[in-house]
Parts: sequence; C-alpha cells; structure tokens
Amino acid sequence: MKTIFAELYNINDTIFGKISKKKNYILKISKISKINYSIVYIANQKNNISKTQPTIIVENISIFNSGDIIQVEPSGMITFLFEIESDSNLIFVTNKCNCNCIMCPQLQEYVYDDYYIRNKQIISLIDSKTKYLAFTGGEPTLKKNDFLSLLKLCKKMLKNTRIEILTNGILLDDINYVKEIILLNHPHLSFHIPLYSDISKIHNHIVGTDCFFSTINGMYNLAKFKQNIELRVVIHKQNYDRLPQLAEFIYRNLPFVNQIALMGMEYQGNAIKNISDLWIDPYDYKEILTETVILLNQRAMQVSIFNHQLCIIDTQIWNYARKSISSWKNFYLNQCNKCIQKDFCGGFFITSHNHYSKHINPIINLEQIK
Amino acid sequence: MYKLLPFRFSKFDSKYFLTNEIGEFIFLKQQEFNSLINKEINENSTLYKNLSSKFFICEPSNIEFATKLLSVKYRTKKSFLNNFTTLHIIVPTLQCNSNCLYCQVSSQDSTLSKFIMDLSSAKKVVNLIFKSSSKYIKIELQGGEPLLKFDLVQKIIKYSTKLNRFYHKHLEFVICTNLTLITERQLTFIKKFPIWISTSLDGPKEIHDYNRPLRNGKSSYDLFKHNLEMTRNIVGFNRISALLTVTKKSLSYHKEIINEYILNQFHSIFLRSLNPFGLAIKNKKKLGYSIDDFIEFYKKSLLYIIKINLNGYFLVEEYASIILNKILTPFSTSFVDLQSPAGIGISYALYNYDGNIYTSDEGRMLAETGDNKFHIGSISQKYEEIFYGYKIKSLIRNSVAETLPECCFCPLVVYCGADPVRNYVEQNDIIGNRIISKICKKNKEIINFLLKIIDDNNSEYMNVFWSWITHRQLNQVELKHENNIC
Repeated sequence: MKTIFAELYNINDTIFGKISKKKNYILKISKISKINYSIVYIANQKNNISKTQPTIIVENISIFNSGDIIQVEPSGMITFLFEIESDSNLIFVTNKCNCNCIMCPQLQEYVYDDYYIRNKQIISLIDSKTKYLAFTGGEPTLKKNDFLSLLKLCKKMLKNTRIEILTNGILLDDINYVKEIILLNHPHLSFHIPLYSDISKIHNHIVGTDCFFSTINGMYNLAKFKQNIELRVVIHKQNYDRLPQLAEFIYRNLPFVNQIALMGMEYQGNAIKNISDLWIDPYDYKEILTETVILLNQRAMQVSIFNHQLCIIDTQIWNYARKSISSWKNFYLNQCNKCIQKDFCGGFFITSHNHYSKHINPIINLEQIK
Repeated sequence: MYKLLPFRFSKFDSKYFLTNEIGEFIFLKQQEFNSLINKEINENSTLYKNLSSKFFICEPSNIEFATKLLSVKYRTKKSFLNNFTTLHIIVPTLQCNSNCLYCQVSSQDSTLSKFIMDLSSAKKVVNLIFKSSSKYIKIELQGGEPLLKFDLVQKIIKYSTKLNRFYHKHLEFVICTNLTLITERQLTFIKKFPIWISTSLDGPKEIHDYNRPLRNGKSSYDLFKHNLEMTRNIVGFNRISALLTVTKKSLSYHKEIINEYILNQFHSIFLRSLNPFGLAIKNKKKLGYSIDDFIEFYKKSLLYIIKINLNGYFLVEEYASIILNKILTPFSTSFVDLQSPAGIGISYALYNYDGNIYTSDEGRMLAETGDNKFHIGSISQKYEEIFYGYKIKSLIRNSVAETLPECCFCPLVVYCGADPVRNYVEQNDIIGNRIISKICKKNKEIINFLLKIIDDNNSEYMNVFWSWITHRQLNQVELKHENNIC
C-alpha cells in the first residue's frame, strides 16, 4: 500500500477516514477512530493553521483524491487503504497465512489479524462506483466468518464492484465452506489461486506446506459451482524449467480455469531472504516462457504475462504482457527513457531493490528486436 | 519408491507408447521403459516428473488423491454417457429419387407408396423420443429422401417443437438430403426451426454423378450445385454441411475431391470409407477396395488437407479431429462410431418407417435380410421395454472396448471404440476378432499416423490440429504478433 510521511498538528491518535475535497481538502474521521473530533484539515503550508484544529501538512497536496481512504498514525505516517484512482485496491483480511512461500513478499514477523472492524469501515466508505476490489492477506479464508461477513457487506454496499479473492485455495478443499461462499450469491466473485508446479513435491516445497492436492481440490470445488478462477504462477529458479509441463497439466486437470497469469518475481520479504534459491534472470527462461504461452494459446486457454519487461521477452508474446505493477510501486530505469516501447511496458518493482535482468536493453529501433 | 498406476503400452517404431485410462500418453525409449518397469527411475529426473505429471506413476503417499483426480478425469472422458440416447434417426420413407451405387439403406423408387411412415406412427415415435432422459435431443430425418415426404417431415418437426414446450430439452433437427429436390418453400420452413441440413458431395461432377445417379437419368451434381447456392441464400451459410463417401473411383483423385469441397466453400470434410452394407455389397466390384487402399487414400488426403489449412483455408477433416480430441484434450467426444461402450441404442437409435426400432441404420439393413440381431423393439411398446430391455443390455455388455479381447491390451483403446455391428456383419460375432478386423486395422493405422505427427511435434502441423480441436482459424491458434510496436 502507498505510504507517505506528513507533519501532523494536534493529532495524537491513530485516526482513519475518507478524503473529501470541496474548497479545501479535509479528512472525515470514521466513527471507529473513537476520538473527539470528526474533521481533520489538510494543507500544504503551516501558515494560517489554527492552534487547536487537527491538521495534516503535506507538500504535495494533490497526492490526495476525493474518495481516498487513509490511516494516519501519530508518527506522521499516512497509509492509503483505498485509492479512488486505482484499479488494484486491496483489503487485508489478516496477515496470518497457512503457507510460508519461499518467495512471499511479506515477511511474517508478527501475526496480526484483527482488521475486521477497520475493514468493515473501509468497505462502507468505498465509493460505490469502484470497479475492482481485491481481498488478500495473509490468507483471507483463515478468518472464515469475518471473511464471509465482509463479502456479504460488499454485496450490499458495492453492488457493481468485481471482487477478486487472492487465496491459496487450501481451505476451499472443504466443500461446505465453498458452499457458504456460493450461498452469499455474490454476482461478481473471482478466485485468484496460485499453482507453482505440476509436481506436488515442488509445489509443496515452494509454498512451505503439504497442500498441492488441497489446492487442486479447492479448485474442483469452485468449478462445481462454475466460479471464475484465475491461476497465478510466479516464476523463479525452483519452477521455471517445467512451465510447459505445468501448462499441459493445467489444461488436462483444470481446463475450467478462466485465466492463467505467468508472473515475474517481486524481490521483497522472504524472497530476499531466499534469493539464492530463487533468482534466475528472466532472460534465461525466455524460450520456455514463449513455449508456454504458445502451448496455452493453442489450447484456447487465456494467458497473460505479468511483471516482465518487453525487452527480455520474445516479441511474439508481447501481446500477452500486461502492465501489472501497481502504480505506487512501479518505476522505470533511466535507460528506459530511450526505449520506444516504454509506454507499453510494465516496468519494474520499486520494491525489488534492483533485482532485475542483466539483459534490459532499451528498444531503439525495430530492427534490433527482429 | 514409486507405484505404477494402470496403463497400457505397445511398441511404437523404436519406442514404446503408453496410455492410461484417461487418455494421457507418453513415448518412451526402450531403456526408459525398462527402468520404469524395474522401478529404477531417479525421482529427481525429468522422466520421473513427466511420468508423475501424467499419472503413470505415483508416490505411495499420494495414491489416494491421484486416484481421486484420475476418477474426476475419467468421468469427464466418459461424460458422453451422462446423457442417455441423444440422436434419434427417423426414416419417414425409403423412397428416393436417387439410386446411389453404394446405397446402404436399399432405397426404393418414389412411386412405391408402401415404404412410407403414417402420421400416427410418426407421433408415436416422437412421443417415445421425448421419453429419453437426455437433456439434448437431436432428431435426424433420414431416408430414402425425406424431402419426398416433406409434409410428414414438417409435421414431425412441428409436433416435436410443440411437445418440447413441456419437456424443455435442447432440441435440434437434421435433414439428410441429396438436395436435388429442395424448394424455396421448404427452405423457408427450414429457416424457422433449428434444423441443420446434411448432404452428400462425393467430389467433382464426374465422380459425384457416377456414384450418385438420379433415377431419371439427370445429373445430380448440377442440381446439387444450383440448390446449394439457393439453400445458403435462404437459410444461411453455415447450416449445411456435406459428407463424402470414398469409392474405388475416388482413390486416385484425392486432390480433386478435396478441391471440390473448397470450391463449394465447405469448411469441413469427412473422409469416410464405404460401409459394407446394402447395395455396396452388390456393387463391390465397381466400388470396392481393400482397407489398405483406403488407409493410403486417407493418409495422403489428410496431408493435403493440412497443407490447405497452412495455406490459409480453414478445412477440418472430421475423423482426424474426433481422434485428436480424444488424444490431446481432457474432454469427452460424442461420436457414436468411436466410443466405448458402443453407441448402439444408448447414444442413438433408428425408427423405421414401418414402426420398428433398431440400434442403427445397419441394424435395419440386417433386418431386411431376415436377421433381427439389432432390432430392439417397435413403437407399440413402452419406452422402458425398448431402451432398458434385455436386448440393448446384452448388446452393450459385449461392446465395452476396454473389456474386449485384444482391445483390452491395446494402448489405442482410449482413442478408439467398439463397433459391434461391424463385427457382426463381418465376422458374425459382435465381439469379433481384432486380428482379422478391417475396422481395427483402419483405426489403428489412422490413430498411429496422427500419433506419429504429434510425436514429431512439427509446430505448423500442431497449430492446424489445435485449430480443428478448438474450432478456431489458424491465425488465432498461432501467436498474435505484436501490435504495440510504434
């Protein structure tokens, strides 16, 4: 989530609310913040601020948009819980997880899963015209009943919002839980589920638990109710060599999935810790990636490539590459300014600390890539 | 130590070819095969992973779930059985204005009125058809030439449509016609209902007219051409498809025949060998050929058709497409001649003009020679007596390919099927002996030919195959090239 630092005046509690802009920017405080003021002023200079009025001072005030939902901590840290301009807003249900993936971008240092009240508030504050909202964690299904209530609330408050559930699918192995979700009768749910290998041992090694078959059975349970499923395959040293076999496995065993995303790595959290087991230059699996896309496309399976730069993948699969990195953690290298394809390229993760291919090479003319 | 999951295998050139019950396959070198059987494959090897990914081997701790996955996939492959009898063939009349040399239905001169179904029988037939538990009902009007009794055809279609207001089934019709008699008025009627037209085209004029002479001596080809255009203009382009029957005369003209299909803008062709029934037996000298001749014809035609696709014209060879679906996809195919258990009675049935019901066309032909082997009842009986009766059960019990001698060990059985009728006609035994079976030889050769192409993994050929399987143009199967280059 996007975070910034600001100077705070007369704010000594963690507060949380929605930005509103008429003449000036203000933050309407949500009820759960339990404090005795309901409005915080936002300004870009200290002049004219009242001595008692709670105020946030930020240099670049246009970073806020009317409809954003933020959390302000006394330290001055402001976290954007919801950005009105973004299509990739996330609701963190819990940071607890029943997997421990070797490449997880979140470090599980402490467990905190008491987001329920705050999440309820966020959902009721979110603009009803919002197109997409994703539930994630940790593993959102671990907070079984909280999660069901949040989905129920979405159905009530956000009638036209597509809800994406980022889950490892393990708990969906329980058909009764799946039934409970289905019985909510939410019209726009989709499930985004990871599968990292066609070999149970490799998948289990990557996710750090013995769950290959539960995840697959979870998907079978969803398929029984014709749910929309997107498979997510994060590619690294442990699994890149069997991508075509994984694609064939998906077609043979999970032909009902609606979409398959082949994803490049974000080097953060566990991924940094385990970098020697994970790092492979994406350029080195270029041919394998192309072969995989060819195979899935032949079989009329919908496939997309996330988090790969255009200069390190074959031009024949450019059409499948998506600009998939959220804008707040997306950047381009200086040399990319020379590239004629920059506008079409997804760029890099700021969070990945310069772990990117050695073969990044701006495309200056078309001859170069043919 | 890994366990072996059930599979079948045979020699394939210098390799071994293995399939399992759900149709997944793998080619192994002799030495790889030996180490598989002797349980010597290292668990970190690619071979180990490939075999386990395709469910040929499994770690003991995973057996329970592997079996569960296999059973889901097995149910999917056999899901053609979920719907009971779907295809219902009605013969409203045996009269025909054509006198095809290979006619397998013993069509009759149009002046003989005794070979016509009466209206009350037709209604009884439709009532029976709607008793089928299948959600999908396809009523195929065959003959003879059904257009000779178009008033009856109309009544059957209208009555079925009316009944379906209560049954809510997915209802479709097929009219099998030589097209020579079709009129504007008939086509206007056809347009209003979900009716598909199935016709015949044997090749260029010379071959077509030779195989399919009209009783009045006129050229059936000329009328076909004229009426094809009229049909497409009225009911739309894609509601009509054509079938090919290969005779002795066709054997040296594969290119000309295929070109004729393209000339007439068909996008599907079905290379069918002659059926040894009816007139085809009488005219054997004129029409017949050995099964080897057909296989050779099939192979060179298929290669030519692939080339045509690569040159940008979409043309599916239907028989190959059915087999490729079985080999390369996890899905079920519903083609009655290549399924196990066989389709007779449980996937399709035939209602004759005289009210007798047979498992198939061939069953009706046999009855005309006095053999009621495939007669399963008559329209005066109850549905349950006919379709759940002893006759069908005993026929089906002996038509499960996986249990038949030879077939049970053949790795191709998952891509093939049982053909009890053909076995009976050729060998007087519905189980049959595969060693001398012509249909076995034909299917084996064709399936192996396709497997060889798949094993060679020529990307152009594979793209053509996938375009057939997924019903997409070749350029959609190939990667779309970049469109975001400045």
